[in-house]
Amino acid sequence: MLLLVPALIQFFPILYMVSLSFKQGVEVFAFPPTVFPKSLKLNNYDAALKAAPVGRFLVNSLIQATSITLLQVFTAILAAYALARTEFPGKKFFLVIILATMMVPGEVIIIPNYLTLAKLGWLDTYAGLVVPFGASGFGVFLLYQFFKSIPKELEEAARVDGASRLRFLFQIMVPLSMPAVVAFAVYAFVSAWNQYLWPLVVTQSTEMQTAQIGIGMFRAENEANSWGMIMAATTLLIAPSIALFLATQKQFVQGITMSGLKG
Amino acid sequence: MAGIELQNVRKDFGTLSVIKGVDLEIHPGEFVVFVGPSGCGKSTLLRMVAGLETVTSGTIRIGDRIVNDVSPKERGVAMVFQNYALYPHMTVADNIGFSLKLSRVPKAEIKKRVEETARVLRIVELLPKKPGQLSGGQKQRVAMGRAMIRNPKVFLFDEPLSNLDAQLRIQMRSEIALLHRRVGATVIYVTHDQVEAMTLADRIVVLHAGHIEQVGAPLDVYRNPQTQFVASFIGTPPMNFVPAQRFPAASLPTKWNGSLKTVGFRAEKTAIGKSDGLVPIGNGRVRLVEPLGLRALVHVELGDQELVTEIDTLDAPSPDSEVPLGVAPADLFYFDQSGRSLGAPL
Repeated sequence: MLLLVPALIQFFPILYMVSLSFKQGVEVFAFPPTVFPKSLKLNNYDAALKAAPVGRFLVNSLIQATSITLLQVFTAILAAYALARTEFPGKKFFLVIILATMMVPGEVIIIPNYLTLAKLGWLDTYAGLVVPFGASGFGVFLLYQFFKSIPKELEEAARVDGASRLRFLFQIMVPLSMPAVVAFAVYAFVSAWNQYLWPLVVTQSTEMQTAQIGIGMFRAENEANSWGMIMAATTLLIAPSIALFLATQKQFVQGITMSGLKG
Repeated sequence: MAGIELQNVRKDFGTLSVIKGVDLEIHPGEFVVFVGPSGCGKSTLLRMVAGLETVTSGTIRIGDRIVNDVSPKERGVAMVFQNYALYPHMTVADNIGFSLKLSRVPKAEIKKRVEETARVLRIVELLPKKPGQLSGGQKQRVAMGRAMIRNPKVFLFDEPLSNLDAQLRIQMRSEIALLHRRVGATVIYVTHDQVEAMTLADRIVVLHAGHIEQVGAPLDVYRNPQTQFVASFIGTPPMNFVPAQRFPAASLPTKWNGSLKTVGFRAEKTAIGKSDGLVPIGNGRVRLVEPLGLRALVHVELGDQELVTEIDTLDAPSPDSEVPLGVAPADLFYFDQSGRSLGAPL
């Protein structure tokens, strides 16, 4: 019961956003503010969709976040397996280097990344949005911890049964590590979806811009007078990441807590 | 069915030598048990045959092929692990059929063979379940099914019964023996339990500290242990050992002169009482009587040693009483300084 209080506090901004997105004209500025709108008219959503290519932003964000997620999950699975289950010279060194990437603030690498992509001609492309985030030190570490807890005999049994390393990895290790993999995928998706600075730097045309930049555009263009419409656009743009979390929250929580216990 | 041949097989982990040169020939269809205390290298040796450990030097042959560098799946072996190693996210049917699926056997054929195997092991009703819903004995059956379905040339068992309770262990033990008789494949079975070794094996391989102490049929090994280690490891309770100088010189054979160091005798051959035919060992105090049913184990303190005799429960002395111990000369074993058997006295 006590946990409801912080939960409500956490939830309030989202609730208020949705509420504002339905409010008409001066209702937005009514004092004292009301939590629930008087009506549920969708005209703010109409206006938002007309004012900017919200659909395009959403598609861009979906492509960007989904690609980053798939790439990060794939590279993390391979790297974590190599670190957890194979012996090779310099293994500890590589593990430390991968962990060290978690300590580097993202802002630091923006300029070198930008220069590299400019040379490659990848500015204002999906590749420019996605490839720099193709691997995640956090993901490698999370899955590494989880993979280490899977009994070695399972791999030996699979080898005697005739499974190759890759087949064992994708048919046995990954299915058994689903909570961790899903937790990491959700985390990767939401972080990618919420990226602002990098997409702002690397995209120039409206066709390539993502949802977060779109929200920024609304604010800049509409000054202070159409909060209803801004909130309608914002609601549309953050809905996918909330929906994803709601859909996978069970695995997400399981993955985080299990990997924590076994770390 | 295939024979297995190990030639001067060694295994080092860094500077630590775990298998110190093993030579062994296993005949096609033979049931061989590796037995020894923990750390003797029996599991490592088995895993080398399976292809799960590399061979540092020497050769391993399965059939007439040297398999040192052959991957486990190419060796035609199947293995049953101590902790079953079932894939927890797959149903029992999928677990059993996994290897067939990997070798691209058609689905209908897999289904047929899985059901056949399940029938033999009497686990048909378990097929749709997941391993988490099974008891230990059921899991062990599934693990055996997974090994059987491939019709392997060689079965490898790594302490398969040690996670089961005593009653189930005895039951599964006889089922493994029946299974071997039915499929006739070559079996290597690793255990630290000498009763399992005695009851299952065609031949026992007693391992100690990385080398073979003795190979032979169970009763041969029991009757003619070649070393003091084998004598103490095979047979329950372990053989009693007494320094040779404890015995009156006249009661021991003289032909070995000074090399005779230790005299051994089994508990069931140790008599309480004195008679003409018995070599006297001395008088001791009864510390403990353990009735097993028909027979009882009597622990007798003799000097600084504890000796065990096995006698009829009805004849058991009361604790703290003083009793004379004796053994018939034919039941004595003689060992030299290094623990090697000196052989028969005649």
